[in-house]
Amino acid sequence: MTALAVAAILASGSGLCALALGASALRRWLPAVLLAGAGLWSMTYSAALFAFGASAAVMMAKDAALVVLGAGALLLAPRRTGEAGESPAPTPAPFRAALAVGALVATALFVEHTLRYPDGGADAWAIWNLRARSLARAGESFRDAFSPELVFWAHQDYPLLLPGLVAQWFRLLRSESFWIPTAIAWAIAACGVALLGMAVKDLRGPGWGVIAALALVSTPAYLVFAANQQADAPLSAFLLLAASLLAVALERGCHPRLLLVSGVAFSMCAWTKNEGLLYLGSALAALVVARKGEPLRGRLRDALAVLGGALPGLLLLAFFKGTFAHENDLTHFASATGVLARAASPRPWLLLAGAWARRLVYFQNWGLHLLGAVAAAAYVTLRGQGWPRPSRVLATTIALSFIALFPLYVLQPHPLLWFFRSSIDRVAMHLWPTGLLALFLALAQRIPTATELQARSRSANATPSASHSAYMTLVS
Amino acid sequence: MSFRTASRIVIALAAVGLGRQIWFHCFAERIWTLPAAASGARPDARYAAARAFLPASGRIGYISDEPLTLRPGSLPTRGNDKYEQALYALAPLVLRYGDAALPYVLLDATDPAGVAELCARHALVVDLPAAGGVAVAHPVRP
Repeated sequence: MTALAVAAILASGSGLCALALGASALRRWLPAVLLAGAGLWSMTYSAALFAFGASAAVMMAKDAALVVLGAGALLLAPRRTGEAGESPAPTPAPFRAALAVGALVATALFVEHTLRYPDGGADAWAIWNLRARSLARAGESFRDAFSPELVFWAHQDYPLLLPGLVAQWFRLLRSESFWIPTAIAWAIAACGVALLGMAVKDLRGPGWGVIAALALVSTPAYLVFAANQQADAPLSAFLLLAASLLAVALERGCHPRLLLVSGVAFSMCAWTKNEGLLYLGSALAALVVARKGEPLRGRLRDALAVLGGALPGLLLLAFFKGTFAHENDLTHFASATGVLARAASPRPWLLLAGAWARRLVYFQNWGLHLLGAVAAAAYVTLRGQGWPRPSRVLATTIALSFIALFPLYVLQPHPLLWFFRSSIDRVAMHLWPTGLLALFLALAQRIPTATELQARSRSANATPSASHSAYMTLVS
Repeated sequence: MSFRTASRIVIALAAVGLGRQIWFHCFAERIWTLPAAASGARPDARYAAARAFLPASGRIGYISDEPLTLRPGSLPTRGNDKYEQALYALAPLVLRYGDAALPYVLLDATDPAGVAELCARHALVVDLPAAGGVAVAHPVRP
């Protein structure tokens, strides 16, 4: 059963990524393969659970179906999609060494934190691992996990991607050791770092990929949230997966397959945490509003392609919300008069604006990373070359998400500053790897494709075989 | 921006970020206390006897001597923490807060001596005697 589960993750992830990026890119995009496979494995677990129950036979049939479908997709997938950039010189060794040291230190601290808090942070045991235990132990009584009779702090309406992963491994390994959710948390966080490095490397060259990965792995909040076994680091990784595919699509021609698979990844975000739905909505809006020079029809078509890819996951989410997830604390307890009173008073808006500004220098969780990112964004804006298309769309996605969150913070029923302090770093963490992707794509020069290099070489009376020296001239 | 400039800035930021983490985990949290912290009791230990006694699934009552926050608007209390830990340890049982009429009722007292008072107040008879403030009881009149 375990071997079948591993095969299901690898085959379904490979099949999905091959459809988007081409079979020849799978080795380079291994972190994307693993994330996509894990996401599909968990989403189909929930779908099978809701439709056919919790028996081992159902789960084995589901895994077998994933293997078959993944293999089929691999066979159908093109060998190569789009035109990759010319591969520039390898990364200088000191930068690779710096990344290796950063990853080692982060892993050591992750293990230290796990030994000190084996059940993870408060939300890990009170929500995510609680749900995983309930699903793994309950068998056919799994509906009890979402009982409205539980106190609302159990957040019965939260989606199930992370609990689905943990619960399946609990059952497969016949153990509820704390090392299982810990290993999953570490693997997803590591995939996030590797994927950011991979995406930036693929679009801007290996040196940029290494420093992008270093920026993420050294972010204090990333380590904290990963080690706490909460769903925030997985959501950030799935959002990065969606954003990376979107960036490749926007840079190399919006191939519908890339957009569809990006949509699938966005639905994984929505199936990880409720905020994922907001990020999908923001991305769809950004695809339309952040590409003003392009024909509206094309922009709408691209947004619809992403939405089409997300649709199966969204249907699963809608079924879950309509059938099992009885209430959400932000909506269930909010009265119209309370919402109106909060909206009409200037105090919560001012409080929130001040709290948000102070968070930029929250050294404990962010070091100087947030300040650095704001400075880099200001530099890109002021240098006069504009933001490249993928960065513009991703940055607009982030901006729209924050704009939508601002009134949500003011109007929700919890004490404002308590709610803000306990959640804002999570929200920032969801968007952080995607923000780094947008920034590094904007800071670095685009790698010209072989065709572009040949055209430029011809125009400079150079021979096509001199493409590498032409590249060096272009980027220097 | 040139790669050289960007890489220098990122390496400086990374040094600050990782340095902050090393300081926190090794010195602020005092890494030499790790063995003691790692061998500390987990939520499961407190409710292990009750879990062995109670049915594997279904609904049970939950009575505590600590008040819980049941609606947004005020902050979660120590009572919320205890309820959530019990829920985590006893999953997939549904713990109905304040319900002393179900056949099984979990008594969760901060002070073990408080179990008797909770029984008297809610007309409960103890089935599984208190261990560390946790006991299982049933109503006097089912």
